Amino acid sequence: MTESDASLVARARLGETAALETLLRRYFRAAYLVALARVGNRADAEDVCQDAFVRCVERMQDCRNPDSFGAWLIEIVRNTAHNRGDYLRVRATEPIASHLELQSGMRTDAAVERHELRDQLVCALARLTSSQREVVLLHDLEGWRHAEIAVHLDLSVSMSRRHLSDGRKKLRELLGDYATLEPDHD
Amino acid sequence: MTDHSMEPGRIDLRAIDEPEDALQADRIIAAALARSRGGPNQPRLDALESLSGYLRPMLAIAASLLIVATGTVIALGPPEPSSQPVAILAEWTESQHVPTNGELLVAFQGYGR
Repeated sequence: MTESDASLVARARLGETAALETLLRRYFRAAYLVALARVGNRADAEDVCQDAFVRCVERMQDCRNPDSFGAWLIEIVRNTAHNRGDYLRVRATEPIASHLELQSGMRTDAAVERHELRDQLVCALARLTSSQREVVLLHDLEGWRHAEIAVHLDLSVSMSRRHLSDGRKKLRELLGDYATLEPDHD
Repeated sequence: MTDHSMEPGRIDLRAIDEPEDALQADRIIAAALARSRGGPNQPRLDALESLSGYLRPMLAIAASLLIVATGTVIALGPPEPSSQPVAILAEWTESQHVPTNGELLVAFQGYGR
C-alpha cells in the first residue's frame, strides 16, 4: 500500500531522508514538467527542479497541508521558475543531445526528423499560456487526469479541461502536419 | 464554455522530452538533498562545529584564569623595584643621581659589555 503524503511529510520532518526522497521522487515528473512548461528547455528545467527541491527541504516545516504536499511543491517550482526569469524562451544554442549525436556521427535521418519535431513542438508550446502548457504537458505527456491536475495546479476540473482543449487546438493550428494525434484516455 | 465533445485529440509530445534520461530523477534529487545538507562542505562544517564546541569551555577557563591572575596581582600590590639595568637607570634619572664608574660596572655586569 502506498504511504500517504501526510505520513511521509511527518517522517521527513523528523529527519528521515528516505521519506523525503520518496516524496520528491513521487512528484518529480510533475515538478519537472511544470518547470519545463515555464522555462522551455531541459537544462533550465532541471536546474529549477533542483533549486525548488532544496527550498522544499529547507521549508518542510512550512507545509501547512501535508495531504497536499504535491500542490505545495509545484507552487515552489512555479515560484522558482518565475524568479529565474527564464520564461519559455528558445535558446539560440542547440540542445546538448544534438551536439552529442553530431560529434559521434550518429545523426541519422530519424534523429534529424526527431529533432525537427522536437523544435516544432518547443516553438508551438512557447505560444501557449503557461497554464495551458502545464496542463497539456501533465495531461498529454505525463498522463495525468484532470482531477489530479486540478488538485496539484490549484485549478478547477473544468478549468483544467478548458486549458487542455484550448492548448490542443492552438497546438494543432501551429503544428499542422507535425501534430501526431493519439487516442485520448480522459 | 468549451465544447468538450469537439475537443481535439491528444498530441504526441514525447519528442519534447527525448532522449529519455532514466537517471534524471536520481541525479536531481540526490543533488538537491546534498545541497540541503550542506553538500561537500558538510564534514568541514561538522569539524568547525565540534571545534567551536571545544573552544567555548576553553575560552571560559582562560577568562576565569585571567580574572584570578588579575585579582592576585592587585592583592600583591606594586612590584618590588627591579634590579634590572633599565630600572636602575630609571631610579638614577628620577633621583638625578650621577652614577660612578663602579656603580655602572655593577649595574651592567652580566651583559658582557
